Amino acid sequence: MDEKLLLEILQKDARISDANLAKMLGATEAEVKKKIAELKRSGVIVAFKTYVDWEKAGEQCLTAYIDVKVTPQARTGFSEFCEALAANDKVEEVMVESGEYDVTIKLRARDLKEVGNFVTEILAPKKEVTATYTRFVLKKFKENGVALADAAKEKKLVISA
Amino acid sequence: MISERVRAVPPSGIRKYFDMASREKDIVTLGVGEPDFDTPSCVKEKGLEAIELNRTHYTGNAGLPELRERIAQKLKAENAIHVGVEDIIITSGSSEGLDLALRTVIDEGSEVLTPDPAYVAYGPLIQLAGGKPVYVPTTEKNEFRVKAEDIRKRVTKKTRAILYCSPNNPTGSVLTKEDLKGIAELAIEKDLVVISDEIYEKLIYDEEHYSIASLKGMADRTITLNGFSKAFAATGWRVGYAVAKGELLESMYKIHQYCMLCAPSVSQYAMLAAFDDPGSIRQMVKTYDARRKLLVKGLNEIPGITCHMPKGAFYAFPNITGTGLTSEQFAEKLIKEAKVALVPGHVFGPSGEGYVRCSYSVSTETIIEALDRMGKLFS
Repeated sequence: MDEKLLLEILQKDARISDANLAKMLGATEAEVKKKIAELKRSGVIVAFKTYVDWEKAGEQCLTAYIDVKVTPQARTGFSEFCEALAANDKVEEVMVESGEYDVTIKLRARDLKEVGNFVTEILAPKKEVTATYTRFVLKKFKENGVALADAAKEKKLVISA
Repeated sequence: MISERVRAVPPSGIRKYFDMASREKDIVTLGVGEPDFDTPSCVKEKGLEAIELNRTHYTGNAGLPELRERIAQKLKAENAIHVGVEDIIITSGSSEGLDLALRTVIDEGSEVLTPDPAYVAYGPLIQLAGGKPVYVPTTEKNEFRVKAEDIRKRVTKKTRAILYCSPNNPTGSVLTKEDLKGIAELAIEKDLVVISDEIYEKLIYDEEHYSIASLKGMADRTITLNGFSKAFAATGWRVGYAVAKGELLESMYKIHQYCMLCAPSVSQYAMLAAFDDPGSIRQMVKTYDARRKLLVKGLNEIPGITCHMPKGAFYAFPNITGTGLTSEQFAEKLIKEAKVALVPGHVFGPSGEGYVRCSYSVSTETIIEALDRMGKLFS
C-alpha cells in the first residue's frame, strides 16, 4: 500500500470511508483500517479534526497572532513556557521561531477584549516574557491548507469535450 | 449565406448536455474534459514576467525558437523522436495543429480513417477540410484499441491519413507498441500519413506511451500533435505543437502563417518554464490514478453498470446497457434525477452508444458524491 498516498488523501479529507480508501489504494478495507491504526499509534497521523468556520456558525470570532520575546529558562529553555500555553483551549498554535521574537502564538478569541485579556493577564505577567507584539487577522484567504477566497471557486465549464 | 460544407457539419453533441446541466442547481459534474489541477506556479510566474517585459507582440510564425528547442529535447528524451527546431511549429493548442494537419493532407473527398469512439472534433474537422471521416469501430472487448486489420479493411483509393489519439478520449484506451507497429506497417504499405494525437501522453497508468513517429520508416509520414494543456493543466493558455518533416511541416506552416500568425506570445513564454517541474506531473498522475480506481470500482458496484479499467487519460467509459437505457436517456436521466453531469458515449461516435464518459479529473469528494447519487438512482 502506498502509505504516502494514503496520508495525502486523508490530509485532504479525513472522513473518507475505508471502503473508498481501499478502492483508491488497491487494498482491502481491513488492510486500510490496520494501516491507519498503525499510523495513528506511531504518531504519523497526529489527529483527525474538522476545520470549522465559526463565523458562519454564528459565533463571534477574531484571530490574533502574538509574537513573544521569551527569556529561556535553565534546563527547560522555552519548553515549559510553550507547553503551558499549548494547554490553553483558545491557543491554536504555539511555535518557537527564529528571528526577533522567540515564540508566536495563534489565538482564536471572540473579540478584542478577549485578546487583550489574554495578553495582559495571561501572557504578560509570566516571568519569562519580556515583550509582546500582537497582530490581528483582517481577512483569511487560506487556512489549514484550505483556500477560502471566492477566487478559488470553480470557474471551469461543467461539461467540456 | 452559409456554406454547404459548414451546413453539413452537425452541431456539437455536447452542447445540449452542457445547457441542460447549466440549468440545474447543485449539479455534480463528471463531465469535464480538462485537468482540475492548477497550472504549475513556475509557468504562471513566467507568464506574468512575460507580460511585464512586454513580450506581448507577435512571435515568429513558427513560435519561439527557445521553446521549440526545449520541445525538441523533450521529444528526443521521452519520445525517441529525433527532430530539430525546424521540424516543430508552436500552435494555438493542439487543436490548431489537428486542423493544420487535416487541411494539409485532405483534398475534396479524401478519406481519413479514425477510431470510433474518438474525440468529438475529429469527424467535423475532417469534414470542414473537405474530407470524409471513415470510422473504424473499436470495442470494449478489445479495450477500445484500434486494430490495424480493422483499419486495413476500410482503406480505399481515397484514403489519405489515419488519425488517432492514444491515450484516447473518451475510452482511456492506450495503444501498445505492437498496435502501433501494425498501424505503421499499414501506413507505409498504403502510403498514408499518420496523425498521432498525443495530448494525453503523460496521463498513463499501467503502460508506457510510444510515439509512432519513432518507429522505423515513420518519421517522414507522421504528424505528431501534442501540447501543454493536459500535462501541465494549462487548457486556457492555448499552446500546442505539431511535429513533422519536410513538405508536411512546410505545408502546415503555410496554413498556420495565414490563419494564426503565431500562438499566443505570453503563453509561449510561460511554457518555457513548463519543463522545469517534472515533479508536478508525477504528483498529478498519482492523484489521477487513485481517483481512477475509486471511480471505476465504484461504477462497477452500481447495478446495470460495468466498467473496464481505462489505461490512460482521465476518463472512465462505463457500459450502461444493463440499465436498459440508451446513452442519451442515461445522461438525461442522470442530469435531471440525480443531478450528475456526464457525457453520453454516442457523441464520440456510433460505437460509443451504450456507454457514457465519466471524467475523474474532479475531486475525490465529487467522485464519491456522484457515485452515491448514481447508486441511489439505480438501486
